Amino acid sequence: MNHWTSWRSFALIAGVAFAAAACSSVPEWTSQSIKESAAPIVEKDGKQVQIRYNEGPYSPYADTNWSKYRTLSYKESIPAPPVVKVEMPKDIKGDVAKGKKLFESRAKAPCTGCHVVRDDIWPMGDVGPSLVKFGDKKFKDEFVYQMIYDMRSINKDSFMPPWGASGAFTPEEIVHLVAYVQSQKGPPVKRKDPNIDPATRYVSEGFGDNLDPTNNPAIAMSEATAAKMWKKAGPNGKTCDSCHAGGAAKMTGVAAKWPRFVKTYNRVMAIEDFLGPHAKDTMGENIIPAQGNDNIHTTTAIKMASTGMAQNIDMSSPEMKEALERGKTSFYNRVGQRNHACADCHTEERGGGKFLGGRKLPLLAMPMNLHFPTYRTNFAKIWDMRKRFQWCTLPLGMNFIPGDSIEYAELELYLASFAQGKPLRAPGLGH
Amino acid sequence: MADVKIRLPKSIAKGQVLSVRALVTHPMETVERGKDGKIIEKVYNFIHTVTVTYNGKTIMSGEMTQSLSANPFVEFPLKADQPGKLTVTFEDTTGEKHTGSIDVSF
Amino acid sequence: MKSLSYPDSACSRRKVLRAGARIAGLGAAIAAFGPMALISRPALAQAKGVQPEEELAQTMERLFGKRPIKDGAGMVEFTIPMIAENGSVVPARVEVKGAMGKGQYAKAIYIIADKNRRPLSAKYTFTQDAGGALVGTNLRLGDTSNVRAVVELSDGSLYQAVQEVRVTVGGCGG
Repeated sequence: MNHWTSWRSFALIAGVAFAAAACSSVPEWTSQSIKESAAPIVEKDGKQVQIRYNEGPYSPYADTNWSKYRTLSYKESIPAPPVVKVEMPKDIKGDVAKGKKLFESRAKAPCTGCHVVRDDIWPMGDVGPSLVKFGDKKFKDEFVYQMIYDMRSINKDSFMPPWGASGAFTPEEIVHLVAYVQSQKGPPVKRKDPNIDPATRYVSEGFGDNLDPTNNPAIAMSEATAAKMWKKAGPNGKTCDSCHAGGAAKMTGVAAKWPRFVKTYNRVMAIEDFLGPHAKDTMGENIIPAQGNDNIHTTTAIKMASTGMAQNIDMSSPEMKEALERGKTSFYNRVGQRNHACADCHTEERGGGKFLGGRKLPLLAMPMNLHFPTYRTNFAKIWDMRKRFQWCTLPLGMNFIPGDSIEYAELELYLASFAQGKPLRAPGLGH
Repeated sequence: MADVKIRLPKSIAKGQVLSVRALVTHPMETVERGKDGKIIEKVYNFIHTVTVTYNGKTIMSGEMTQSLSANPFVEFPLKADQPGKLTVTFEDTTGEKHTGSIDVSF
Repeated sequence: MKSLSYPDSACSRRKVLRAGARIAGLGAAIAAFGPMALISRPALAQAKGVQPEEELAQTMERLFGKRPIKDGAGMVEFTIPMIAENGSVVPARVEVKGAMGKGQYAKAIYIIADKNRRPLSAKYTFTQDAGGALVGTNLRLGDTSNVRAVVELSDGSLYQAVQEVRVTVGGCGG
């Protein structure tokens, strides 16, 4: 059932004349990941839901189907949400207390993720402008209503989600939010605790040395899994060890060259994407499907064999150049109910380096790829970058696309393009 | 067992009091609550005791609880007055012992 | 040796003191038993079920009775982040520094998270052979809370350092 197609086979059928045109089209891939990563839409209790990981952070979003909204799929046909201009309802009176509740509701946004207000709410972020003196600007309520409903109608470059247009907040809720932000006025706010305000907040130094095996559990976890997987035989009796004797630790330098274009599969792949199909072709079965723990841990062990080595991805082929362009497009592509792009949170011009709630957003230029897979302290699990992508986009109100999709491999390639020559340092260690 | 990692400082002088770290991969299960908010009664698997011995002599023992993180580590002092074997044993509520050893030399 | 540990409130302070007296008498025997003699065995209690929730005051009473706890400034070096990036892994380190009385050593370090279901998070007991007293570990904190490190010297005197730790969360659920 894990069949996959590619434009190559299509081009072979269509003939040579078509092949030239197909070169600039997008290759196709049928997911070979674990089911939770491929995330099929199924019917449950009469409702369409999406199957996702049944673990930690995914639970608040359960299985909500966001299929009304754009995804990062190259085949996406849903247009960007139109810019909307509306009238403020006249029959509802704004309630400051209700507005405050909505403003800080984690089930809703929360607005405090990006904006600082006068109240001591924990934690507040500073991706968007501070609102402590917003009421002093004396904007008309109708104008503020429009800002929240769809800021793009006022400033086309705004990256604030169109809260009303997307249906995230009802008109009545927005009226209360207007009342609350208009109440933000008066003399400068003096905070007892400097940590409340992102501007004066103590910046956490993180979790210490990620390469210390007595500090980062991912090292022992990966070594143990890789040792087991290296000896696990496929239906034809072959093991990883049959061809790659000595285990993951012997694969020195290999990881520094990925993601790369793999001719056999006619697509750009990260190591995680490659392991499953490669096992299927050499051992007779995909015994290590993408996003499964066996896959992520084994990938981590392979990457550990290149710790400290400079990333050295060959970007010169036309396939890689096209993939990089597509990856960049994805980075700036607006998706989900919130109509956000990766760039909104991870470039310096926008939210990158600022506090989203209580945590600093990493910057594209840092770079963002070298520490993946990474140990996530809140869940005591190792995540590969694809699982992180899936999690990043879920609170935006975007359905999963499969972890082993070409879209994610090429998005990773774009992130990796900022890391050439810099040392690999997986596994990372983060919140 | 291989699930305990121990780290000594790179160079050790005789008689020096070192700081040593040991990490064990373990879920350290936390209590689960039912829909009624009540704790589900069962044996939760977590490490309750860590013991550090040096050449067979106990130098530290610790009571560990579910308030410690999954895959916990412990850092402790060691007076390296003679070469020898340092052993760290973590025992969990299922009765399983997770042990790691390392040789201390100068 | 079960009475050596006092994992739950069922174990009265009197019992603990009695056990302490026995240790003094049986020092040589402990050495002969090897490491097992010093291991506390709360597992026995846990195997029977979940230990009850405790308020901070109950925990302090259970552990220290009415003994006074002095300010540990200058002696207890307690390193824990003011803001924890999440509540699942909060690195904490306690080191006992500074002058103690002659022949004195730190025999135990307690790490107590005020608002956890059971505040006592860890207790480490040192023998004189340890040559020092420091401990590092990762805590779980349910919520923003005070965390305290209590050091017990060999004469039974207690010193503590307290630090508030804010537990953070991401901006949009991540």
